[in-house]
Amino acid sequence: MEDLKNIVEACASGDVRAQEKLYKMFAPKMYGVCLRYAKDATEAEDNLQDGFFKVFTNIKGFRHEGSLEGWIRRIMVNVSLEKYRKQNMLHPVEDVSIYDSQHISEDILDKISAKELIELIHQLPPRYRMVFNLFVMEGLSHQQISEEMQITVGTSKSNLARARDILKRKVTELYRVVGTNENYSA
Amino acid sequence: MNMEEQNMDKAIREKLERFSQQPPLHVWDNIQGQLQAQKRKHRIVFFSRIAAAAVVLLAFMAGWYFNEKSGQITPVVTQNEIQNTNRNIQNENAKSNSDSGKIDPNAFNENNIAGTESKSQTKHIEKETDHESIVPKEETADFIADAKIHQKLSGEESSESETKEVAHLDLLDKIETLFKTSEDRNLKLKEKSIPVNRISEADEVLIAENIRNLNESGGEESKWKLGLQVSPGYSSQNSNYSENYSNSMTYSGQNGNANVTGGISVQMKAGKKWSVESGVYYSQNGQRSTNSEAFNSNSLMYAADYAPLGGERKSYFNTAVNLSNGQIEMNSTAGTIQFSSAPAGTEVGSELDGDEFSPSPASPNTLLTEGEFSQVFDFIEIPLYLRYSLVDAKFGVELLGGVNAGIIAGNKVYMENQYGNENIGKTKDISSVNISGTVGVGLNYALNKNISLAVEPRFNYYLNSINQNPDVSFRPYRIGVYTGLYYEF
Repeated sequence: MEDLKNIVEACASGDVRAQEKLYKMFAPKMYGVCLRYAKDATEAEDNLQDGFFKVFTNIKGFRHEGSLEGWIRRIMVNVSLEKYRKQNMLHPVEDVSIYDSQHISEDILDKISAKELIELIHQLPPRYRMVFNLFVMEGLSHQQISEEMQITVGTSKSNLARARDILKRKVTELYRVVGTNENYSA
Repeated sequence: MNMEEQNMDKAIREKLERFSQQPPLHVWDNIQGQLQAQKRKHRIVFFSRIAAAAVVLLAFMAGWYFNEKSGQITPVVTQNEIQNTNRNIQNENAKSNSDSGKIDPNAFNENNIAGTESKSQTKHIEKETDHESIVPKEETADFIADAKIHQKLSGEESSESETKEVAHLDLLDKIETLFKTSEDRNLKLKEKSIPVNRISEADEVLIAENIRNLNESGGEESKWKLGLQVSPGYSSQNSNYSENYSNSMTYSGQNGNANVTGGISVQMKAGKKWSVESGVYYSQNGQRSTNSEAFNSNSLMYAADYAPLGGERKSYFNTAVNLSNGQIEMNSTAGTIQFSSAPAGTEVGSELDGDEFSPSPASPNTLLTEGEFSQVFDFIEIPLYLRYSLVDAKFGVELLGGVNAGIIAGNKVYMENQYGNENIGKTKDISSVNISGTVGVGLNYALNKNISLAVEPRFNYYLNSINQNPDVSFRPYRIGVYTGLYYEF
């Protein structure tokens, strides 16, 4: 812990080796975060890069009050949100208020790998993906999501339901394909 | 939210929360690149602030310089006038086109033909593209107007008098000789495109003047360079003393001083690679005389006895002094210090009898004080340097060498003790003009055509002892990194 504090201080004074150390410590986890929010790996890499640039330029302001990981993660989420705002603000997806609720057996969710799940999340429309991530992964309320994304609470709710529905269908589809095609490998 | 949804969210969260993946290597490289670019940007902002301040000063000086030459018309103004004149010609052209009745073949003159020549290329293109609307409308209109004039001219030819006909034919002959090699098609086009107008005598004079100015300014290479430099530096000295002098002398401080020098310079290009430089620099050379723990002179050894006891001896300055005509004189590093008055917090002790170390002390009086002496000289330096350009590009390298006349502008001795830093007198026998030699390397970076940044490490060494006393040879030297801006004009 003391070690981490030293690294943070060295990073703040522009020590490249300390920066690399910090990056190696947190990059894989944060790449995972960025992958969830992005539409593909390229966008995730961009966000990871922008996020870490922000981390290093703002690390002087880190007060060691909360966890460093939490702080870095928040930066990654904010960068992803900013990117989303820039790209999707002017092109909102149509709300689909009527949807078919699908049932999904839990054992399918157990079988699916995180990587496969991320692949499926990539396929969600941008706003659904955002709402889903903020609600499920960051634990934000619909009220908070509506403020972050400048949408109504109702839209947030319906987007989440729609995202869940699409995911369920895609998971089921994936496993149906897996079941019928033996050559498939994830 | 029903149970199924909650379970699903939980299952997904658990799976993804633990998920991590190694990002591609280039991401780290990009982050590094970004961070370094930002560092550079910060540095540029810092330097550009300094540069901006220097540029303001330069602009002021340049303004003053050019103000002296205010009688001349600058080429910039006359170029604008050329454009205006051309516009006027076009306007006249349009006017005369609209009033075909007033067309006078005599109006064709050499100037018009010259004008036509420059226009002919564009007209040619117009013809080739025929009536396609690639060419701007205005030009097409011009073209049509010209064509109409020609039609009218040729239409009127038969009815006009013979003299006019001759004039017109004469003109055609001239054009023909001008474009002999052109195809027939082109020739016809040129006939059509002759502007019908007249340039007033005043315009002609103006154009000739402009062309002359333009040629002059275009061919002239910048010959002068104005420089503004500051230099942090390290100064020290090379000194020798006669035995007699050093026997009653302060401990010679060998530690150099860090200080700042600055000045302005003017360079004149003397050849392709060579230029001569002069200017005015201000520099300061200070020499500290420190207390010595290991006493290195007999007198000091005696003097040590006068210092209060209790282990404080080494912080006391105790050097033999001469008392003559009520003045205190003390031999120090750069020469003999002449006290203007007895400084605060000092005592003069006397040793009347010798002992086994020195039976009869050369200088029986000793100055006792806490603190340090510094002998400070201010120089106004007038350099005469030769510069040789090794690399003459955006990033240039130059060698420089030459001599300076160092005029002593200030000669002061300070004593620093518990009473503060006090000016206590001056150094004796300092010559008012001294010669020093300088060598250096100049690294320039051209910011634009006229302004360049320069960093020049220079070594400056006094060729003569600045002290005329034959017992003292004191030659200061200085290593400095001269940083500044050059303005070429």
